[in-house]
Amino acid sequence: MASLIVNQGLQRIGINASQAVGFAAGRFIQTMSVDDATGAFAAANTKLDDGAGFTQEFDAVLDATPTIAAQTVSHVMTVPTGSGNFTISRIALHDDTAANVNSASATLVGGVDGQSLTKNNSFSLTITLKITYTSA
Amino acid sequence: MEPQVGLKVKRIEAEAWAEPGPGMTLEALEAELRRLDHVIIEVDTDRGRIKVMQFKEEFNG
Repeated sequence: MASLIVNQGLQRIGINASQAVGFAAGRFIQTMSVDDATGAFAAANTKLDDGAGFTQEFDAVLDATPTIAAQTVSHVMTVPTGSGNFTISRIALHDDTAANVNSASATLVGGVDGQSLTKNNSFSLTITLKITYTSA
Repeated sequence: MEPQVGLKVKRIEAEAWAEPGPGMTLEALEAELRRLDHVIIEVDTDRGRIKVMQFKEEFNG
């Protein structure tokens, strides 16, 4: 298992921080997804189904505005009882609204792969994904 | 001399907590999670939830 912020995600972070060319209001990290892809995230990935083994996905807007403590940003999403009922292999962040996020949308920022969380409709799952930034 | 200042992703962490659905007890959830081969990392009886995933990766260099 591993984790990665893909090149597209790093670019989004840079664009938004500097409001550089490509900046668009509403394009920021605001959605989380879970899927069953068996492949690992790669730096060149821009969408969820770039990897291997992708068949199922669920995404939703974050439960609340992300929080920051020192240089760590926390993102939280709840997968409700009736959703995401498959073996969750990957957790990802996206830079668009949930309505615009799907397996083929170029919204991937990064995430964690190599998990094995079997979910069914008897329980919900609240997932927190934290990114810590630092100077080199 | 190599530049000494820059911005990088130092660490990515993730965790997941399962919470029982309507009408389900925490004990029943724990039994269900074990049946599904989840690793039970922590049972939080105060908040009625069970931690089933914890991930942390540090990036160096």
